Amino acid sequence: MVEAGPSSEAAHQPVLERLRLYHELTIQTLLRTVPQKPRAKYLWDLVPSYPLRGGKGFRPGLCISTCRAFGGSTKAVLLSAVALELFHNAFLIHDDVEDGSEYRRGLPTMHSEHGVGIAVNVGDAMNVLSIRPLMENLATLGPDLTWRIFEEIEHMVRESVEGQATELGWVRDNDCDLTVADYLRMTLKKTCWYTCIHPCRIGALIATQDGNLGRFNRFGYYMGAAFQIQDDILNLVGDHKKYGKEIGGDIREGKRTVMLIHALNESTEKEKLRLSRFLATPRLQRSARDVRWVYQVMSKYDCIEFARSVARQLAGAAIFEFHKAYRTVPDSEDKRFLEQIVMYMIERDL
Amino acid sequence: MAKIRHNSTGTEKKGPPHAAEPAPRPSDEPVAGEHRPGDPPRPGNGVGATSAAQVTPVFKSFADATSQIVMQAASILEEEVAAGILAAKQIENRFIDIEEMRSGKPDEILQRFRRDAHELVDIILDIVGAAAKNASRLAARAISIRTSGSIAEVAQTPVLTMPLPIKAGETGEVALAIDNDGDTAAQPFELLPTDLINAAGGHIPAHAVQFDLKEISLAPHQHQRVVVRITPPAGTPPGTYSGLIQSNRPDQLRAVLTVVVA
Repeated sequence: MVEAGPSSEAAHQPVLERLRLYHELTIQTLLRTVPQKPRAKYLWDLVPSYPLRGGKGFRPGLCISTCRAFGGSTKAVLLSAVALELFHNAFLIHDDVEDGSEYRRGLPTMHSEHGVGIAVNVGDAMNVLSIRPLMENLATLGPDLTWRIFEEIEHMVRESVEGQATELGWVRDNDCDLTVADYLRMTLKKTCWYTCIHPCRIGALIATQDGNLGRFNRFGYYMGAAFQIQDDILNLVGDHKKYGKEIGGDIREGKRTVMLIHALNESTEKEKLRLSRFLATPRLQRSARDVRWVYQVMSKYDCIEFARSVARQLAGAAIFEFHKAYRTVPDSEDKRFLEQIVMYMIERDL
Repeated sequence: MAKIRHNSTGTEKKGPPHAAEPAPRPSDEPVAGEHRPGDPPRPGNGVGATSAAQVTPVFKSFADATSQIVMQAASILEEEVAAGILAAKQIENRFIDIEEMRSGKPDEILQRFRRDAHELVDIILDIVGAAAKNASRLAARAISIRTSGSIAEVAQTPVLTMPLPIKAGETGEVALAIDNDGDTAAQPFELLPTDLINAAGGHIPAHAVQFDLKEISLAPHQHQRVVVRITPPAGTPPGTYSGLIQSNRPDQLRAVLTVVVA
């Protein structure tokens, strides 16, 4: 077993402070993009709800710090960071509807509080809002760079919805014959492009105008996959107050995590049959007792430790790729932040 | 025999995401866990970057061996980037056809089109070459493909070329041989084709490619002949089309398939 490093919040304080700094700056700018109309009810009044709930701000953090590490300015990259954060929050609202989640960042999800129809519409509105800051890049970055950022965003969104479709399809079709490789491909598409790879690529693009963006693909992928696996682990063993979602919610949703895939692959025929039946049961009919049983099966086969091991290997690879991707830039606080954030991704408890 | 060159410029030109990125090449892109002279400091080796020492205990076991998970992830990423390149290039070519034609610079457009077409082929070959070499690092490859059509080696990826041009709507065939040089039997696997594309953005759908064997099983040191048949749909414009034939084995045995539609 690989020895874990320091996991306390204090150990990651420099990372958290920089994340907070860039996140707050992004949210302040984001809120200025929300139309202030007299008839804001049911739409524009709800748009700030998710962004104001906190969140970790990984995407703007990676985007802004990469831009700065490569010599660009916060001002030049801020509108693109705002667009990333708007897309992210739109994804979250829709994702919560699609997964039937009850809590997001410690509060009821948008659809739990306001109904599915309004929630979907608010998500749509945030997708539309994200286009505006990208258009406003035109004035400061010029047409060529603005267009290239649009291309990055188009790819990012397309990959994300494809990844989400894969995951939803697995649940709908009760696919129980998946491998870790299947999971890695799905999470590349669903999570990594938009959480890590494109934020870094866009940041570097703005700073360098014509950088070798392919260098961020592996770094962002490994980091993003480690991040997602840690997120899935926290869903099983996290502190509800810190994590902000229902603990064990992924089991109830039938979400194909590394832990569940490992359990399905390691279990006896009898256990696999019961797991398969549980996963075929409509979500609302899955009992707390059955959820506990699935958790016990995962414990029996060391599924959480297996997932942690996968996340650590990916995080190690991400740090290796970091040194390749950022080797040409001089040392700076932003560069150090980008290296340290990898460890934070797998040691965080929220 | 055609000589196939790699895109060696290492530069990225403007275009859709990943459209013009050189694929990670075996020669200069080691996968994490594999250290080479001149590489940046590996996590845990305590050399160089200030924070490397902090992560030493965390990755001490990681540093000792190449991670199967990481290699698998690297291969997946390369496949996905390759898929993005093909899609993006087709979009870019449509932009060239429509938007720039309207700008009234046909000679310039044609030059750019030709350049992009060459780069597209180079990029595809770079990727399959890199993927093949990376796959070979996962395990000593015991199984290989030999072609009985004209052969060109790109790294370790064979190119399978239909011996004669085919008319749209007609069927051509070429044989390939799959060898198991190992001492153990290979798990049964299938060959899967991708769409074939040409430089003008035209394509031949994957279902136009058929194999005479659905599932391939190989005993130790056995050789298996597989006939590949391709029927470009009626109306397929003339041109040279290329795509991939890939196995569903974990090491992703693959070959480039090229056909000329007359």
